[in-house]
Amino acid sequence: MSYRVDIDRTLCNGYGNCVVAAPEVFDLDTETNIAFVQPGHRADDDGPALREAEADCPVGAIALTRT
Amino acid sequence: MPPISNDAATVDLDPYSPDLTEPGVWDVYETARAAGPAAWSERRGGFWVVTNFDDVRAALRDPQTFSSASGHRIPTDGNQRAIPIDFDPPLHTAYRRLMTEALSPARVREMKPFLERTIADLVDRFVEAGGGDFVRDVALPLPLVVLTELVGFDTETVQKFREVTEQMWAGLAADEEEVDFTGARARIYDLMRAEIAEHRASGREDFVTDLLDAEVDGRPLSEDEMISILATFAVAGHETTMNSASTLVHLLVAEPDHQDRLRANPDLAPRYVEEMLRHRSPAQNFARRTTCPVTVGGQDIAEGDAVLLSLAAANRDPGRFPDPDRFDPDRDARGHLGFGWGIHQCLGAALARSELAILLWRLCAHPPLAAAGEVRWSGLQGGNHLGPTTLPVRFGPACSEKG
Repeated sequence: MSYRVDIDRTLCNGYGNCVVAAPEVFDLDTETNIAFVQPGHRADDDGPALREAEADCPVGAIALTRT
Repeated sequence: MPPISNDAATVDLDPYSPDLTEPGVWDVYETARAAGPAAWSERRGGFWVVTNFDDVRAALRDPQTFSSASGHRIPTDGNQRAIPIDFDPPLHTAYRRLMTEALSPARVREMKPFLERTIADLVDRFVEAGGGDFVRDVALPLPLVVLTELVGFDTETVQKFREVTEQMWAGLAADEEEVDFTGARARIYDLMRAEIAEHRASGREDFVTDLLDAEVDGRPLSEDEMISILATFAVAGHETTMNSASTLVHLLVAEPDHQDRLRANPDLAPRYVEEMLRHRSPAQNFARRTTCPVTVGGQDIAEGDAVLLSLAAANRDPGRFPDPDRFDPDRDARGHLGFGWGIHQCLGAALARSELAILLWRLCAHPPLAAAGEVRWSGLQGGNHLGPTTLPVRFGPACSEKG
């Protein structure tokens, strides 16, 4: 199963919980402190970690869509 | 409500006891952990103490079961009503959005030059004076100045924050078993009411003035809501940063090896900050109330019971952080619960991280720090906050290097 990962940059507050849940997928921009999906990431490998990242975001800024 | 069964683990823990301080407070958490994943304390109306990392984080992730609507301190009697921490969604979400305006990543980024200037001024003056009480001279003034910039509090108003906050902590701890939340916060609320009136008159451009026209749920905010929001900024906005800054500097003077290492490589500052938040957790305990029967670590907990989630104990769970009592900036401290976790996670986390790292960098630009007297610690203020109350330090080579 693979997912599309969307981050609402207007909601993201730089907590970094997503980086804890899925360090292979997410990172925080060192300048803006806003989360981004790392280039080259293959979303089909990380289902449980991605769902944890989505659930753990304190402001609900991460949305997963099954593709 | 007493525990359901008589064989429940018990622990004698009063969150407001002045005995809960360095260094013994860590033994109390270990006693609670050894008693069981959820241990019942009879104090202050009775509550469960939860200490294991996975259990604490699971509860923080589940606001539907572990409700905040009855309060974040023991006893969860419904008389606290601090915005946003004593609310559940959907109102919590709306309140929190309003407050995030003041603390967004963009805002924190904008504030960086201001933080660097403010911290340089405070630290440089402290160095020129040869040192002094780090709490009084740097750790307290820093967040107060930041609050004038961030929220728009008047400079004279923030000078009163420490006194009225200490009165609140004393008021909460005053009685043996009862806790008078309304009485304890009265002076802070008076101060916030005056600040709102002043902003109504002056209309100067800042967060307080924005709040006057703010809406939640399609209606204007009431004055009581504005007061509660501003009181959160006033108290949570300075107590935590003050304790974090002082705890870091205490570490540097108490363990010179850690200071040497940081001075040799100041890029480690963010790691020192994270590991301090894990190891010393300046905000230690937050309460919830169960909305249905639930099991924590095999212990049945009834609906309506108070539960104290110990972030500080969870951050020293050996199952999650090996050798947890050791301060180790090399460990992977990510995922610690020092800022909480989930929908109530600290609103000021990004600001705090930035402020504390800048502070360490600035200190590294000066001669080494050394202790110049005995550090004194508060008890757990409000059952939660722990930090030095006095931290005498001086600049220059350590005593052992004399002659």
